[in-house]
Amino acid sequence: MMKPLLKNQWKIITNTLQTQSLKNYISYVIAFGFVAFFLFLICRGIWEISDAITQPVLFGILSYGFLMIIGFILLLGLPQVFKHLYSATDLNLLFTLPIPTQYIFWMKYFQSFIGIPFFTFVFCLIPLIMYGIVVEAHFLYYPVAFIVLLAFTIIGLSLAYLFNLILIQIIPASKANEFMTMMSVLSGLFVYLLLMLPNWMNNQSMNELLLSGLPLFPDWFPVNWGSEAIIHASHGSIHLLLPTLMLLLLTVICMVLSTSLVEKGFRTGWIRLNEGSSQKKKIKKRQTSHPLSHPVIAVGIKEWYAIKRDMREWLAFMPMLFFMIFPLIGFLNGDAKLNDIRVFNEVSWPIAQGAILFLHAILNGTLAASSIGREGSSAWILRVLPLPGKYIAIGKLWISWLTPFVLLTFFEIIVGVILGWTFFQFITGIVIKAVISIGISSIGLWLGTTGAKYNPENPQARLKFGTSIILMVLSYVYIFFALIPYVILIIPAETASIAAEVSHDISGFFGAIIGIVATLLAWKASSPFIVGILCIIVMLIISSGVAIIFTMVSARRMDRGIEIDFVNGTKAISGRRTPSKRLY
Amino acid sequence: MNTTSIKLTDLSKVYGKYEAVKNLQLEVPRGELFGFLGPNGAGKTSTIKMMTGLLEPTKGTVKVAGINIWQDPLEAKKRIAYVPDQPNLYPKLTGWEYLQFIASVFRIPNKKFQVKAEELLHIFSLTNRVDELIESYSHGMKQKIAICGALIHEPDVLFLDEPTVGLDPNSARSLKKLLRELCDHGMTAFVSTHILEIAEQMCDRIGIILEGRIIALGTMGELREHKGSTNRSLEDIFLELTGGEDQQALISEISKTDQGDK
Repeated sequence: MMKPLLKNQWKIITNTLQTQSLKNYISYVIAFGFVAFFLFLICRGIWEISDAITQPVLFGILSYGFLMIIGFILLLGLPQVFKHLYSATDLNLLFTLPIPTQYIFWMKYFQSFIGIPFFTFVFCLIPLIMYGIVVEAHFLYYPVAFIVLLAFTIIGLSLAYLFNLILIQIIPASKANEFMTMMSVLSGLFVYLLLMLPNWMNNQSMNELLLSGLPLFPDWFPVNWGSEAIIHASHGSIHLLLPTLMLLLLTVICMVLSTSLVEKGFRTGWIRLNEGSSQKKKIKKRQTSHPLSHPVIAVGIKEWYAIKRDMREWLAFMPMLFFMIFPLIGFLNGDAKLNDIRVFNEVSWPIAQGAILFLHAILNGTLAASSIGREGSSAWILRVLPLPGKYIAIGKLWISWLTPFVLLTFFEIIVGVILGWTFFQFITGIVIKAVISIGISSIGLWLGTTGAKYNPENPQARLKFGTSIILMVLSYVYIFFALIPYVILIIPAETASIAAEVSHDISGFFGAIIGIVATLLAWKASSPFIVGILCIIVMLIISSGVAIIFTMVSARRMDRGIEIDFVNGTKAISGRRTPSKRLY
Repeated sequence: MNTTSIKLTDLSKVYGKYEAVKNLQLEVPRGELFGFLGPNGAGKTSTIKMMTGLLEPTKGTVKVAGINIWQDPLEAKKRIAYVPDQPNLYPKLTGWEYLQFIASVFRIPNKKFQVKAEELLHIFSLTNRVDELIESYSHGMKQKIAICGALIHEPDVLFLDEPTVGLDPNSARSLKKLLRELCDHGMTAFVSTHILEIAEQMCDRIGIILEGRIIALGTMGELREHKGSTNRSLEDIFLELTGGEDQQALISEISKTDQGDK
């Protein structure tokens, strides 16, 4: 029974590869070239330094490397395994055929292995072989390295399967698809914690331990078994047997554990997911007196509901967590005394303004751009309704601007209160960021109309790769120019002399810009009121000009019709697309 | 007063080298319930999409309520409504919020909206489920809420692509009755369907499309007359015109052979 299943899988893979577009083949070649080049650099490094690596140092590197392999497979493999186990389209057919569930499970397991785990295995094996050649290792080194690496790859994959099979029994079925995205984030945090293990298990930092050849982990830690086996094998020592056998035993245990949950976690889990929840998602009772809105507001509200009710949409706000909330928690836990810092609000305020604007650049553009691809298969509705493009554009713009603005302002108020900002600082910061950030949103909206993408299996990826890069660059370029009057406004005029000195030290474009800033600051010193007003006017012209131009261009594109690239997400291996669908 | 609700002139659609719709000429008068039939891939959906502004014609014009939909799309769209065969609606809105959104776009007065929405929801037995997210609806329920959304602004012309697919018998009957009633009061309905029984029972006129051309057009009586027999059903006429008769004969042969084997 296993043979036809694997044969069928093989045919699907070969057919998929054979029917790729030229563009995809080229991207494969480029990706392969990139990986090959990276491997070449690693191998070259090994060639140069392998003689200098002492055995204890190698032991530490290998142990940490194996932990990284498990972490990497878990990080990238968890969502992949979820797709294979629960959202693959062939399961509908396979479960109706007289095939034991175990066989389907193993077929999926092999299918998952061919992806990220196999790539990781090959990627790590080549440098290990290279090392063996350079240090003229015993011939036993090669098969042992192969077995140990394969064992850790299988352990990583089995853990990914195990997590999925356990989690599917805990999470509510109605939330499973959305939870998967959240799980990707959680797996990221889990892997981060995993890789931080050496730091927590010891008093010294990991780098110090590694370089001084001290053990990173206790002896019983399984990653040490792999390192021991490889090092003994490189000398041809018989001591390789025990750690290798223990590692193999652990691999088998991991596989058995994951297969023990097949019936309950795989088949029943799939059924639960496909049945959906028996509990209907009831939203609060409607208010019969709730008035209807203007079409622009209605478009925005529709977008807001889509954002609010889908956990995956909130992933866009992750940078906020990493760039602001984590550092703030770290800061509050730190040794610095709050009262000492509160004194320097003239320093803390501009720094915070810069940081929040940086977040606006990430969030506003992404959210606005995503609003186009978000229409997905519902795109026909706006196209059929008597809505001019400008209504749709403004409707999408206001909500994609307001959502991050409210969130970041809320956060800014907390930070400001902690750091003791003045009322004037609060108001100036909030108003000016409101003005500047609308320009970023409009740029995002326009780019959304040029490169919208929709993948039913990955709804949060709503922008083509190239377009998202352009969005990032354009957002920062815009902020850079919009910030010049803002910088003049917020930086004390006394810093003019420092800016002048810096401009002499730096040549080229940036030197010229700092030179201009220095001159403007000097003017500010002599007539602060006039320069202040001028700065506000220039900033308003830049931001509202950009906002109006890009919104109107977006509206025109909407009137003409926008194409959303529908990515067929049924096969992980290919990026084949169904024909684009037109929007508006 | 303009009595023609839909007018297609030389309407064509070409995809690369493939001509999906070929020089269609068609007029549908106001208040008519028009059935649009054809086998799979005959060009039905392409034609409807061109009439609703979803697909740009390669050649020809579409006038809805006297307005060229590709020259003055907003004015034309104010007068039409469309229900596609796959009702992909906003999954994160509730049924009620979806209707509110549509009503907001059409600027319907709030009071009128409340009354109309409740009435439509009652007809399609959706009143108890209207506060649930659309993503939790079955295909049939999505179809029903899409129909409610289409009728909320009382359009002059309603385009329905396979409207009864997924509907339970009660809802299908309610839809048929409602359409008949609305057409009697002046609305025009352009309905594409595979269910010949529905077309036969409820449509004023029927057009059959094959390989992008209208090959038959008229009332049931006219179609029967054209084929020379008053007793023939629409199914017989359809199969004869679209070449399905040969397939039917083949199926009969296979079935006879199978029975002979036994």
